[in-house]
Amino acid sequence: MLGEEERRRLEGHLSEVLSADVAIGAVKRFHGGASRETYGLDVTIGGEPRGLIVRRDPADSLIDTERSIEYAAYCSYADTAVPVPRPITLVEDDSILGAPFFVMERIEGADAASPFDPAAYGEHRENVGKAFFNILGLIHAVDPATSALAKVTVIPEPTTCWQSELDYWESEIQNDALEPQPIALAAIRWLRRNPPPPPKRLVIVHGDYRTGNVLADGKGGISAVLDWEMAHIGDPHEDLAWALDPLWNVRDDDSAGGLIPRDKAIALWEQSSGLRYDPESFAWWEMFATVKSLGIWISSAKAFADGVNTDPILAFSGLYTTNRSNQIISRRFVEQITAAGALS
Amino acid sequence: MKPGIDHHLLAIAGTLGGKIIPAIADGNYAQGDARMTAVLAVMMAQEVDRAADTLIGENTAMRALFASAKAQFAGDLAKRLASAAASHDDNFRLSTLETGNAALKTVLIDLHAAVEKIDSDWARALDRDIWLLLHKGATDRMLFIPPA
Repeated sequence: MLGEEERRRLEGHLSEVLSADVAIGAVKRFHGGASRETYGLDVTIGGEPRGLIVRRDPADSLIDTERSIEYAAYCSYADTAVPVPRPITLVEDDSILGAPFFVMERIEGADAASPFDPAAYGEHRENVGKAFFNILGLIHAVDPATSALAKVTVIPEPTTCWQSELDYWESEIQNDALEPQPIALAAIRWLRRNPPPPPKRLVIVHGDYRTGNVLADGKGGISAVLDWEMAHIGDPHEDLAWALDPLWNVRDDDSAGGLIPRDKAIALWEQSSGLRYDPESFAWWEMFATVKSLGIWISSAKAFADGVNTDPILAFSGLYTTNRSNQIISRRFVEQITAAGALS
Repeated sequence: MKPGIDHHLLAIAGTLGGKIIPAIADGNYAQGDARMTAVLAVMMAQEVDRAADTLIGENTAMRALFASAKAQFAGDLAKRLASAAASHDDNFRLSTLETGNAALKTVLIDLHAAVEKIDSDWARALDRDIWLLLHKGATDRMLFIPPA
């Protein structure tokens, strides 16, 4: 939680940034969000009540990323059809809150659902699903070259954008694994033997676009897309494959994120992005998505085991999701072998 | 039969869910931690009864696979396969079984990488057997999330 001195310094900083007197009232820390500590602040700005969100770097997290990347991603969509909270300020040193952080507006009257709850969204499930994949297409329709994100990250070559992503996540797995990982390593070898075709165009990739990282308005709509800490510029199939990973489909293989049928999801994404689904490219990014998820779970397990971050969400991530991702990859290979006729 | 470890873990989860979580103010960060801890306790209850069985089964399967594969290879890998195939678990403590499992999987990773480079029917059959073993291991370890 924020201490008195931190509150005072943050009030001063916000007053300067917003050119108005800012007073901080109630502060609530949101559960989850293991990549950043997330706080909701009731504030008054020039006497007007408002809600703000502070995202502060923790001691360790599920994902090691620069907060400037996440902040730039929010800035990239601030005035577009993609719903995001308005970014307010980024502080990259420890002077105010003892760790880097950024502030954005709080979206009121909307909630994030558990990605593992089959009853999430209730009667609004289909409409949320349509909005979810329509927005994913809108994310990919924005020109990355002129975005705020392009100023803080590299624009990769289309022919090698897969390689930098795979190199990074292979390194995370190799460095953080607490036990041998035969499934992840076999999948990585397959990915290197079968590189994907280059994308028709590069896009801003959210990097963690799934149910659980959007705020639903309770009426079938989506009020905001959150958690852009893994945003980068790359192949649009990366996001599509991540959103369609079986980990998020609440054990319904025909559904996209447990929301709507997969073919409908892909059609909605094609329509709003102006892009075409490429099965060959998708097959590669689908395998990559599960390897990347393993990288995240393996790193979280290490952070928990080392005692660097003892949040129980990290124990869960290292336990349940590691098994599930291993199961998804190994099933995929068994099915490939069966389809090829090698399995009698 | 006396209550097992799984029973006690479920009781802990029940106490957290029925008594402790309702006593924590809504919105308090500790409520989320307590809820997640209850979920972990339920998962541990699933795991504790079967963990040794999973590891013994997988270790036995890997040793059998190495024993049948060793004749196909020469040099260092053949020696490692023979040694791993002849190895055994000193006791059935989970820590011992886990150590043995990790050692066997290190050999499995190298065997799998070698097999993938060989274009022959026996190599494809071995590749198939490795994937079936890996898939069984992942499936045997699957946990189920209790409903909220």
